[in-house]
Amino acid sequence: MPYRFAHSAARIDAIAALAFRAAARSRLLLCMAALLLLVTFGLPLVIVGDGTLTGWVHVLLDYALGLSALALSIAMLWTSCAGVSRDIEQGHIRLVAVRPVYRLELWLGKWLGLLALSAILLTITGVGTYALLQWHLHRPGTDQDELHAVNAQVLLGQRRVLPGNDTIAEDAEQRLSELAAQGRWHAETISRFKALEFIARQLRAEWACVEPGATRTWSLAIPNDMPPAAPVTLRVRISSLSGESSPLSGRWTLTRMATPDQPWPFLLTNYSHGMARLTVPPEYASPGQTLRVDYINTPGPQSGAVIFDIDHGVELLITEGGFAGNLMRSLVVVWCRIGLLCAFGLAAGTCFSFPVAAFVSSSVVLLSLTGHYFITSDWIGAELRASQGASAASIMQQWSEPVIRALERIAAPAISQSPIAMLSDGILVSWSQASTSAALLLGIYAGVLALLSAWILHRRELG
Amino acid sequence: MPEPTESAAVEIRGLVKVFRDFWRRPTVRAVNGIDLTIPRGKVFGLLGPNGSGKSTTIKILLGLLFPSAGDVRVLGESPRAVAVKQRIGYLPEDSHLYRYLPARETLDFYARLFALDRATRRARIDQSLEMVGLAHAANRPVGEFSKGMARRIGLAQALINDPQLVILDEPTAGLDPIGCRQVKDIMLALAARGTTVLLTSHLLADVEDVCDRLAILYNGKVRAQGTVQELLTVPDTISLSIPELSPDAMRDLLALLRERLGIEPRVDHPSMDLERFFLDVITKAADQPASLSGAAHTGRVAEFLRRS
Amino acid sequence: MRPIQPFFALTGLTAVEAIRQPILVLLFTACVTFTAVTPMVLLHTFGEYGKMARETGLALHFLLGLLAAVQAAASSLAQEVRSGTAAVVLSKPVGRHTFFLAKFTGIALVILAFSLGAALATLLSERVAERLTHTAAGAEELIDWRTAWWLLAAPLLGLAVAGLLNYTRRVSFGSTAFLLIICALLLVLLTSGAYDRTGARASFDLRVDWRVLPAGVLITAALLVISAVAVSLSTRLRPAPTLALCGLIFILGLLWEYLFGQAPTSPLSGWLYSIAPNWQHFWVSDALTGGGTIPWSYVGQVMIYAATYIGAILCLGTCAFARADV
Repeated sequence: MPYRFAHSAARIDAIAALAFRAAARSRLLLCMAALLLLVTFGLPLVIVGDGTLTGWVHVLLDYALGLSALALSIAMLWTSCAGVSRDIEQGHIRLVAVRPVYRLELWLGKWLGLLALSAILLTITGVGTYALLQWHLHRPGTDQDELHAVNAQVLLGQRRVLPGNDTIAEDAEQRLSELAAQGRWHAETISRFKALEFIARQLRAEWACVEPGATRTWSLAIPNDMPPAAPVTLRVRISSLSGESSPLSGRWTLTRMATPDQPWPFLLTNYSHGMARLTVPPEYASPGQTLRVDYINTPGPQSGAVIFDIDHGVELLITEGGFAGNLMRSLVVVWCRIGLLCAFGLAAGTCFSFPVAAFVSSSVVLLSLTGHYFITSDWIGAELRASQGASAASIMQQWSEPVIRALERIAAPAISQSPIAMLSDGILVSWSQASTSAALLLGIYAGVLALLSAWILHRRELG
Repeated sequence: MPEPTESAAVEIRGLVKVFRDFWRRPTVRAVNGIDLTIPRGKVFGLLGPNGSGKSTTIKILLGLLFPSAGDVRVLGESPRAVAVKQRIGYLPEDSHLYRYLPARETLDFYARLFALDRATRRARIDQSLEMVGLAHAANRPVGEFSKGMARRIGLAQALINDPQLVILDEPTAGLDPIGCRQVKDIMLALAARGTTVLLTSHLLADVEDVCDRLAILYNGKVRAQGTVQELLTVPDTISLSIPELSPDAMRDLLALLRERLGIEPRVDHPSMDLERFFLDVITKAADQPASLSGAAHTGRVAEFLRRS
Repeated sequence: MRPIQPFFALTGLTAVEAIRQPILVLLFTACVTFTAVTPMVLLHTFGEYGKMARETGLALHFLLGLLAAVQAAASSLAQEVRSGTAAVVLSKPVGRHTFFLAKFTGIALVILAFSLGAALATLLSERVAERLTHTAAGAEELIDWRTAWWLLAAPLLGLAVAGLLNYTRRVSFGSTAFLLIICALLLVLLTSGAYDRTGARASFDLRVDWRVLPAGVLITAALLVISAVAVSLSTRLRPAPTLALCGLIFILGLLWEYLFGQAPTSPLSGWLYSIAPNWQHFWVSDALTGGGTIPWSYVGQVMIYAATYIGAILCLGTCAFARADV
């Protein structure tokens, strides 16, 4: 058996090496590397940010690196569509299929070759980004205060701790029961599931909005496995402000749950880019500690509502790593996603000719990414119609929703958190997140696609 | 090294292949009930006009197409079994090579599919390139090759695993006379050491030169099969070769034949066939050194294919 | 020997070859179907009745039309050069410039047909979209369900009849479906004129928003420009690099003003401004918001810009093809 396994590995290796060499020799590798470097270096030079160093770093990471990752994803999806379909069209597969090669080996070889290609291209992009960043930050004349701010806020890996007092689901149930009791909700107009999700969103929005005179409380549990003496920051993120109100003018207190009678009032003094930060004193930032944050929007003649970010209004950030490691791990997650796209493209290419495979795979990926938008639009429409006493949802809606929802559910692990957005936000992309991505996207999802494609190739005549 | 056994290399019983359109309606009956047995260690020719079912039969033998009916065994196994492909070599009608890969890397790729170790691969690739006369073009991308050169690399990849059964679809198509002769020599060398060769060709002279047995297909059916000797011998005529005679001696000989046997003999000079004449000219020219961009005439069979 | 005859022969052949490709039928069907489905699925109006349907239809027209144009243009010439078909044709008394221009004209005909279908679907989709309608029961927001189902049925009918003809007469499925879908859309447009929004019989009036038409014409001009670029690039490049470069040109053209501002600031940027196609000239659906219109004089100016651009690109393409190895 080990002998057979070694032979199998040798064949997969040969096919992977061929896919890679063909890409290198046909100058595909060179063209793609040039394009990626053009985007990485070109965009930060031409896009005018807000003039600050932080703004420039965001342009580099969000726009340049994000666009490079997007361009590479699309290019690899299409390249993988051609991987099998072009071999079938041009007859190359005949010479491979008559060799002692299992269809699964053929598929895996192609896929691994594409993974190697994307790994090299991502490495080039990552090294280019890092080099450009270092050059820009350490140019003569760089404002040292700005440099310090960038290093303390963006160029590091911080573990995110979100408030744990989320009772939205129960509150939504309760509110729906009240609406039903008042005769304002009918299941035939909008389903219970949809209504609950819609109310939950509404409740989150209500929770995020603090009127003058109102208070909000967040409970934040510092994990036990926090590295000793790691700096901890409280970050407040605001969506919008009205009137003269400001989170800086409200009253903030921080309380250890272990000693609830000793609240520590503090001031948020530095508000920029919609965010304010507070370095949590070491005595508050010990592992296993639960902290309570209270905010009162102080009423005044000019004050208005403060609307916190709906998902990340108040959070604790524990510094656990540097930027270089975070960049590497986020590129690993991007690579895993590209690996899944390659698997999907190869699977489409085993069924269809190249252009059809490219269209089908791009459409499915696009639908998975934008499905949420369609469902949300649909809710808004349904809500409007329901509020106007209009008829029930159309048959088309009933058909399309399960399909879009299923696609979204399948795609959720691949798209739920953007590693590039986390990177530019200074949030830690952990090894556990990277390895989960690898296991789920490259192990399970791509594995299923591999088996499916191998079965189709086995059933398909290749003459 | 091939292991000679008593059983047939290829056995086909009642083979039918029907191609269908999108609606699953039959469009073409490419193979229509073929029965064929190809013994081991022989060179077998499959002849027929275009569209007679030769290539379809070969693709079924290789597991690329699936039969609509009938039974096919290749080296005792189903053609779809992956293990049996370890012992088969195939040269398709079109070369289907990766155009960006150099000749050496092309051969290395196909050798690696047989999980050959590095030393064996290197030795076989060197010998194969030498054999097909492309050692000087080993590092040129195959996409730059002429059709004949690509054909030679195709032949080299078909033999890289030292197969027990070699299937050659139009092996001499696009080759110059030297290449044709080389391919025929290789086929004869392979047969001499027990390898089974199945070839299709339109060039009847080629088939006649190398095949032990042949079958003629037409409209998907076998119309004739047997040894070349059986099929080509004209039973009621003989030819007699003698050295050049003087006009008087010739007159006497003809008179004697007419008188004693009562027949009217036909007399002419035997002529060298054009292939042999051409080869003589080229062999002489090849002795003179010159730079080369095409294929070279080496007249050699790779070492690993000569060992018995 | 009249050179015009081989030109027409080559043009016709290019068009037929292009619409027989499965991908083109797929893109066209997807464009019409998604445009038809939009007003049935997305009910919110973004402050204006029909805006969502109109903009989705035009966006699909632009995006899928772009893919169709680039795919057809890139594969047609490059594929024929690679397969040797071009060599066979050029061995006949056909000039290279005739061959090249016929290729572009054939692709342009396909794009015009594609655009006709997409524009019909957008016009009908805009009519279908929910809007305030006065009925006997009072004013209510209604979807034109009768037209909606007909519009959705048009591509299905085209595909079904093409399938039937393919089965019975063995005609090409792709080209037949392509043409039948356009015919079905025309039929829906004419038939729907005899009904009002509630589905009741009414005096004949097409009841579509003709303001959409100039927007569709401008998008068609943009598609012709990108087709010319793709055909010219494919004289020297294989389909994949041509597709990639066209994609890059498209994205650059879209981001042009965002990246480099609305007016040239230096001689270099001025030069770049004059050579890069600016898609913002062709995408003016915002002008229709709130009852606005696109003046035909503007359409005329943009058409002159597009024609000049196409002419220049084709000149370059002709020169490139004149020296290309086939």
